[in-house]
Amino acid sequence: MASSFWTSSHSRLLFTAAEIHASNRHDANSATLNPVVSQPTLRRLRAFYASYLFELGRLCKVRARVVFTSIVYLRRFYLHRSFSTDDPRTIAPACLYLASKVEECPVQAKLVAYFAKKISQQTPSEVANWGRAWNGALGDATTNAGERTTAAAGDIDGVVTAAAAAAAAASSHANGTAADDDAQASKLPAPPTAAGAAASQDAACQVLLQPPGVNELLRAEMVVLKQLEAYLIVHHPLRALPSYLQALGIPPEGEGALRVYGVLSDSYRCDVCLMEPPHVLALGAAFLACASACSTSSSTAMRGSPSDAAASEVLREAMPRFEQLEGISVDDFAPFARHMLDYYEGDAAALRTSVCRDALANALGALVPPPTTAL
Amino acid sequence: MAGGASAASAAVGGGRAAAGAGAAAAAGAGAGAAAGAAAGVSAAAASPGALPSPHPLSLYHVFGRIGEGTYGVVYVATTLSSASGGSASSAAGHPPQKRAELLAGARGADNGAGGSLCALPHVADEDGAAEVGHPRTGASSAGTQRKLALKLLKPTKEFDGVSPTAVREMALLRELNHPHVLRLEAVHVHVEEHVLCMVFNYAEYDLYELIRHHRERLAKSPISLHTVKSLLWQVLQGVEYLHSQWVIHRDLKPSNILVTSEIALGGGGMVKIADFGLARIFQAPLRPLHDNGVVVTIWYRAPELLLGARHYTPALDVWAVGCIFAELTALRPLFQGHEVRRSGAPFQKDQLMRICELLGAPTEEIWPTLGHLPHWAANDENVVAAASEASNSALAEARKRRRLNASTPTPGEPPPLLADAAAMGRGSSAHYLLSKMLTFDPSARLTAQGALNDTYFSLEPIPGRNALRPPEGTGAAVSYPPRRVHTEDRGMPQSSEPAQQQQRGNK
Ligand SMILES: Nc1ncnc2c1ncn2[C@@H]1O[C@H](COP(=O)(O)OP(=O)(O)O)[C@@H](O)[C@H]1O
Repeated sequence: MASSFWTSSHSRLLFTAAEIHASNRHDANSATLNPVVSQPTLRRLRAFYASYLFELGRLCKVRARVVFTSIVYLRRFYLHRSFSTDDPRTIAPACLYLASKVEECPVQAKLVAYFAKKISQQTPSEVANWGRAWNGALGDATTNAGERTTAAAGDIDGVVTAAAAAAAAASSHANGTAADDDAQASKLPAPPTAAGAAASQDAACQVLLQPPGVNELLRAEMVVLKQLEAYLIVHHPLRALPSYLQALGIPPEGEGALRVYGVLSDSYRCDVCLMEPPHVLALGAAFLACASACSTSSSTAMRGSPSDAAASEVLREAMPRFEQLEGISVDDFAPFARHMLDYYEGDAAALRTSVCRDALANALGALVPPPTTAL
Repeated sequence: MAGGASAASAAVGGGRAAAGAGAAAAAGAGAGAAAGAAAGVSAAAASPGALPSPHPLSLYHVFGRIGEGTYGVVYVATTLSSASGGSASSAAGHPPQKRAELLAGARGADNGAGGSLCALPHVADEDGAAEVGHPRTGASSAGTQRKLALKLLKPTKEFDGVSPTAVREMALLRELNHPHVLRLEAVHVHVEEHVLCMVFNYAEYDLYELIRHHRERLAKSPISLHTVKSLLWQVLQGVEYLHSQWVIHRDLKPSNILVTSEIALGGGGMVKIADFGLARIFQAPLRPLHDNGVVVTIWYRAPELLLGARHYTPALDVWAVGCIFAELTALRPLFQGHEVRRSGAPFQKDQLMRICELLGAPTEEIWPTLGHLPHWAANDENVVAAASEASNSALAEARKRRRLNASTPTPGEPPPLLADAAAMGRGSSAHYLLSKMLTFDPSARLTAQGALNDTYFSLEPIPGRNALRPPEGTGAAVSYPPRRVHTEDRGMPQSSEPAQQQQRGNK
């Protein structure tokens, strides 16, 4: 597939940060009227619905690549459309519905609607845990502002240093997702199920997760298809990942690989998946995982399990091999690494908080008026 | 809300009336068409900007219906206006741009009628550039108007949303760009009416009709060697391209191999492979590929599929092309098995027997993985013995008729009965090539690339770019009948224009 990526529509559908910043144009324009709607809020809403798609995909038992594809659809869609005109609570599941057809494992519309409803009954803590596989242990990272600045300044050493901050994050991937293409998203760790889910669901989640009906979903599929102009084939590095890992001396089945896979998944939770070609996503994820392992060598045994330590060792040893990769230099994935670090420290951390979700719900409520008819 | 059959009929006639009124979809579908062609043209051209967006068919001058596929109806049409006015032509004439800008441009139209328009996939290729103002177009009024085929999706409630087949066909076509692959010009989506429309360049002929014309109208006079060779060459070029893009077509058959008319813009007598409804990207299959109950004609089906192989390879397209090759020379299908029509992909034993009659029975010696194929391994319907039996009795029959002597077939030589059935000379280069394309073992079968390198193509006559025009001084071109356009039904207005164009196409 890599051979045909450069002739694919996907290769022509990569965007710059500035182009992505212009997403949700109508919503952004309405910010003057609705002070609760800001650019970072819109970005976080997109990230929120990307994570939502991981959860919906897990429930629908589709493979990881279906989720990845649906997220790319969602992000491409809102490059030109807006939440106020196209409700993300319908568009997001419609993206998964369409992606399941393109990726040849169609899920029935009524099932998608059913699971969207299921999600809407999740508790706030379950929702907060969608991000568990990616940034569950990011705590230390956010305080590491100094190193972050170094990274942003642009030298790759800075990234390595800053990656220390994300080390903890990486360790949380260990029991995360499976590394092969055939892995089902359903293998993602299930959020802990709290008793009395519906009862304890808060107002913010109720707003953010209001499920669509089947007919809305079917209509939204057409809307998405139209906006995407039927450019539907998206390339992901899932197939190629094992061979990249092999080249780096990271056993594709091991814990180290799982950390890499975790970072790769996370790249779909933020804008970077629209900016970089698949091989950069894969190698960048590997690089970030390795850099994290390296820079935490001093303060290892943080979470201490022997398999964690072994994985870190494998990743540390892989680090020098990046220099030997053919046709790509470390600088090529520096932007990816910086973007991911920014994301881990910023939006990812914020999205776990109920304060942030309240803000998102406020914004969405302001943009999309509640339906006039009762359900 | 507008699912169901009413949307389909409104699509044909009513859409144009709707555009004329600048209103929502017309209620009286068939009657709306009475507005006539001329009215349709001007009214629709004026309509962009009105809300809601126009029906896809209202963006075109529709002449009639030319085909009814498994999930769509195909119409012949031209664009309404050649200049920049209509949104339809803005798609056709897009300058090369970065995709991002194209998308951004489309955004501007979102709130208006033009929003239903999707920009072109490959805006800057040679075809597109050459087409405008082509000297051979002739037609004065339609000088810059291309004939198009509109494939309108049947909006039925049975489908769970947009048909997955249509989704895959569009998605794949968006990635493909080759002179011998039918190009998707545009996609229109009409959300309110649940209508999906794919726009293709028009191709006047297909191999099914070409072959039928020779068989039924020309007293079985063979298709010229030059034409056969050129067609095969072009089909193989297209298939080789598909395989290089990791796409398996899976449904190659004469009716899916279109050929452009002599006057076609962008090149006459050119093969265009069509119908990607069953095509698959084979490098990243999510599931073992299977037919999902879709009925594919069995005559072109490779033996590994007949024996129940679950993993598809590009080799099955080469098998189908081999069958088409023989059909071009013999004017009838090579392996015309009786299909077992039952759900659950039944074993098509008769089809396999037809193959064994001409090629002999497969053995593990020539096909090492034969024993792993489900129907062979399970010896379903006693297939192992039946294969030998079919092969032996076919040889015995031929000997009885003195078409074979006792010693034939000679091992290592291509099967003689294959040459006879394909109306090829035994031991000819065509015969050798055909037998290599019809090798039982898919891993030993010639690839499309291998076939293109075959000596057959380096011998006279050399394949040409225009398959229908004979080389200088080798006689006149055969004139083939144009595609039948059904204008009488479904409220299609009669129009003299397409008929004239088709007559020209015939010259
Ligand atoms: N580009 C075209 N030009 C002319 N006729 C076409 C074109 N595309 C399709 N057709 C006609 O319409 C028929 C059905 O189209 P096809 O794409 O095969 O649909 P389906 O997949 O539904 O069978 C074809 O057999 C052919 O006769």
